[in-house]
Amino acid sequence: MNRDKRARLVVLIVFGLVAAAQLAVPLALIGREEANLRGGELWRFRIVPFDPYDAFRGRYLQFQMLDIDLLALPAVEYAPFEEGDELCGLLALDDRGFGFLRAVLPWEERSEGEACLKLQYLGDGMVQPPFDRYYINQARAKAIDQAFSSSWDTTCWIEVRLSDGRGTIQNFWINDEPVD
Amino acid sequence: MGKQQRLWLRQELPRLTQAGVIDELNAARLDAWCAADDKGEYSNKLLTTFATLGAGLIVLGVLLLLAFNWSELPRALRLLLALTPLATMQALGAYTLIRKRFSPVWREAVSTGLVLAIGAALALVSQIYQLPGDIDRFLLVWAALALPLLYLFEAVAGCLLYLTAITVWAMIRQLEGGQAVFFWIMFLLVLPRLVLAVRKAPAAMGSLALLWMFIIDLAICLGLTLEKVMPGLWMLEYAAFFAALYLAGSFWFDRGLSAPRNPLRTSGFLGTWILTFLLTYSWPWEEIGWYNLRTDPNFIPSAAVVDYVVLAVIVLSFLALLVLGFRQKRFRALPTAFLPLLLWPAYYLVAGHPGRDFFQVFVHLGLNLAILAVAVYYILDGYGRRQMAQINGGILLLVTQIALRFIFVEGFFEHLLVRGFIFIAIGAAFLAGNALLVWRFRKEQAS
Repeated sequence: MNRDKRARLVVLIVFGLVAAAQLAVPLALIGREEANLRGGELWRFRIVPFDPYDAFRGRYLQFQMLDIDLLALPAVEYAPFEEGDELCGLLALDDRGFGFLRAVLPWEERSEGEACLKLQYLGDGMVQPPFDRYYINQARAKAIDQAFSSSWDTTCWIEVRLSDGRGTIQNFWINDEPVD
Repeated sequence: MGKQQRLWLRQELPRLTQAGVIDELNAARLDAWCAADDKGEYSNKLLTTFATLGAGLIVLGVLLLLAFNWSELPRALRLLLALTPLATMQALGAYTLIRKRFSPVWREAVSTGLVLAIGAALALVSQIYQLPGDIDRFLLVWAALALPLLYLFEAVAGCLLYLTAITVWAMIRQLEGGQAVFFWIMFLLVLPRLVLAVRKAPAAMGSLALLWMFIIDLAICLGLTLEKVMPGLWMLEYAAFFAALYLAGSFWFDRGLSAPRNPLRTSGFLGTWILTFLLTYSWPWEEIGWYNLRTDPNFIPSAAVVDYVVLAVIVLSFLALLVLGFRQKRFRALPTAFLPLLLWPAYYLVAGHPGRDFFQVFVHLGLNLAILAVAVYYILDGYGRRQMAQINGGILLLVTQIALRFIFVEGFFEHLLVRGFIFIAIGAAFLAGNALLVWRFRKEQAS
């Protein structure tokens, strides 16, 4: 095999490896999320949606999680943590069947069998929201945004499959109607 | 042969024919050859540009179609659609490397499409699974996966996408109160691509485009990635950076090249002078230096170490080029590179004596005098060498300085009496210089 052919072969092998890595990243994401959807425990969280736009991923509903709120806990609970710390947010169910944050502890101190949501502490009693958007057909996103802002009775929630602190949104509900 | 040389040769042909150096047949052949080469170069550039734009737009269009969010389709089908552009572009990539590796049109178009397809696949998968925002992580993963393609395909447009991705990432990190030190690692990883391209063909369109991209990106990110713990460090950094660019462009590229074809020299010249004029105002000098270190939690002292390392690298590069200039006796490029040499003692004086306005006034006057001196030097040196462009450059610097000191005034120069006396004194000096030159020209003509 001459030098030129060998160089071409090396380039092709490197390209093959690069292409494999390029496919592996989205495939790994898919695998992780599918595992969550199949084996995760079902939770519901109340949210407040609004309707922005993402140039890459289209129309979506951005939302705030109402009951995943460190500031609702006594300050002493989150005082020892520093910005960037990973926390286990211990969950409980309220009387309507929605999940809420009942306590936090360092991620390493979580115990099996307890429902836990992985959170990242941002300082000043704030956490990085584990879920913040729901992508949706652009015609419907605007309608949901309008429905929510025009009526005080509207209740929205997300249905999440939770496994080892990581959750995957399964559906979005508005007034007992699933969006998908 | 470059475009300028071909143009020159075509202009010289009638003279060469008249002088009998070549006959008319040969002249016609040479003319046709130059014309064909011109045409070929333009067709290639046009084809590459159109193909790159075409591939990029198609991938973006597909992205928009998929971003519509076809919630009616089953998830498995949506995932298949999300990964199809990536797999298709990868197949085209393999085809290009096997069959079309010598075609810049194919290489550019396919690599651009592939880089965009990687971003599309990541974005759409995160759309399908409703993953949270995290745009900074997305940009970093995208850039890392695209990086090898820039080398494999010798891509130019891909480099632009890569540099944009890491720059936006650094911007987001800084805006969120984080630190963007990782930018330098990502930047160093793509730097050999530029070095290889410039070493292979320094005058080629692709190399020039890459040089411009890297310079603009660095000019943005030097300031962007600064942790800014020590205020005012940016002045020293940018001054040395632009001066080093100017010296490198003057030493390593032909002086006769037009401004766009010598990116180092052009950007160095523009950057140095814009910065110099900026520094003749007082706001950049306020509350700078080690007595005003920022202690807010948003400023991370450990990340500031990178600021000092980057500054040291730039200053050492500048000093090395300066020494090279002296050794090779290339003194003409040195006046424009004067700024860092003036700025170090100026920074020390102002930063070391907080609250003492005297030093600021001293620095302002010094900078204004230096600008005046360099502008006059350019005019006189340009006259001596009959270089009209240099004379015009010197006049432009003078006019800019006069306009700034007359219209946009502040601080020391706000005082009308002071300004009036300075303008009269400089005007008188110019008239005296003019009289001296007239006397000298007459003497030259008489002899």
